[in-house]
Amino acid sequence: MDDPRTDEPQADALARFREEAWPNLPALLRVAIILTGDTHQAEDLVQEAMMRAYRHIETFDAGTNMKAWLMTILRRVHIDLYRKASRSVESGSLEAMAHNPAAPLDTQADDVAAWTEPDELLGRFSDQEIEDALRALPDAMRWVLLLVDVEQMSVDEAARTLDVAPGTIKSRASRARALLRERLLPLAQRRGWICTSTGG
Amino acid sequence: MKIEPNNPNPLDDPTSRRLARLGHRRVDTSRLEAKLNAALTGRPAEKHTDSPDKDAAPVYTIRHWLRPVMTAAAAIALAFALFLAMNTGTPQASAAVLELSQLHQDLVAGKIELNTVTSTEEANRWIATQRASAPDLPDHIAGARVQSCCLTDVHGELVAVAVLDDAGLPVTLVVAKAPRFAMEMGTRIEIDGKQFFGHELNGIRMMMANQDDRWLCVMGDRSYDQLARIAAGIEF
Repeated sequence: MDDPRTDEPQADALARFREEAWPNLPALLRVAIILTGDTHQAEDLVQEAMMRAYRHIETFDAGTNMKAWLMTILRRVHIDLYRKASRSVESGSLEAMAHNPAAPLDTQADDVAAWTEPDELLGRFSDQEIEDALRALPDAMRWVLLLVDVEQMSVDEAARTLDVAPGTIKSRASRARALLRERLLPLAQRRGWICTSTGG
Repeated sequence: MKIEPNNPNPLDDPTSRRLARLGHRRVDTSRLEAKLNAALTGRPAEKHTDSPDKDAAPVYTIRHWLRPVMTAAAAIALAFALFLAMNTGTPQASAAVLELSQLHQDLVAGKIELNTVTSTEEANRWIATQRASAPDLPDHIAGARVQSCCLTDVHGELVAVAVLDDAGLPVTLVVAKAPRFAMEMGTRIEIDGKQFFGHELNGIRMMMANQDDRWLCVMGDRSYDQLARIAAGIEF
């Protein structure tokens, strides 16, 4: 691991880092907490990402989106540190589906009739339950929702961050939301918030 | 962020809105900032009071703790931190001030979901339905009208929030249970025998006080006198 202090620190680079990158700490930490489910792990993740950003701050193009750039780095760090350990058979199949938007999604979660008053219903889930459902999604889908829905980044910014086409972001987002609802559905049914549909 | 795919699912927008609420939550970055500052400057991070996990020690500073010269620097830094803490408030307090300032800005910008109410009684009834452990808002606020309320957290503590209308301008009132949130910071101001602490950050002025068993903060783009008038009119 590089030590940022082995080179004489550039005062202007540090000033630029503090002025442009530092204000994005809350967003990075918020995303990292959702990714890891653990505050300390999230802090380590963001710290590593921020130090990488500092070491390469001169490569950031002024006028482009600093938050998107930092999210790209955060994602790479997350992949490096955690992804291998968290892969599972189930998420692997979902990952495959994430890369195949044309695959049918035969899920009761898309039973619109069952989700009457969807805003109110979804509002009953705690933030923790929503985060757990997000963590159960494959990486490709989770990141789209984190960037587009949670952090309110534009489709183009998310596409650049995830290095995919904007159309992929759109289809992936819709599919990811459906999968999220599918994850939440059993909980809603157990609590009697939602009627079990026969699918017909 | 609303996306319109080719065949939009009517459940997508509600799902997107629910996820957006996760993005409105504030997170405590004080420990992370301390670690980053330590990594950037070579000074060891101060031990955070709510960080019992020794495994979370900053990666970049461990080896430097081992260097005698850095140990000496740490002693100097610690002395400086103690000097600052005694004169300008604790590091935790500073972090809370940042969060409070951001909270007001988020509220004014409409980034935080609020429950519209017409009185503190109505606000407290709503709060009671949300979290039994939530602090109450004051029974009476002289000279300002309650418009909306919400529950959130500041520096990891659950707080009740009311947005007040003070002569057409928004003022934010934050209440926490003092035993868990008591702090003194900023300039000491005494009004009608009540003691307040004034603070200003990013154009947001704050008046804080410990009242009965509660801690409160009144803040907004108002003068200290205007905030003090509201704070002095608060009764629990």
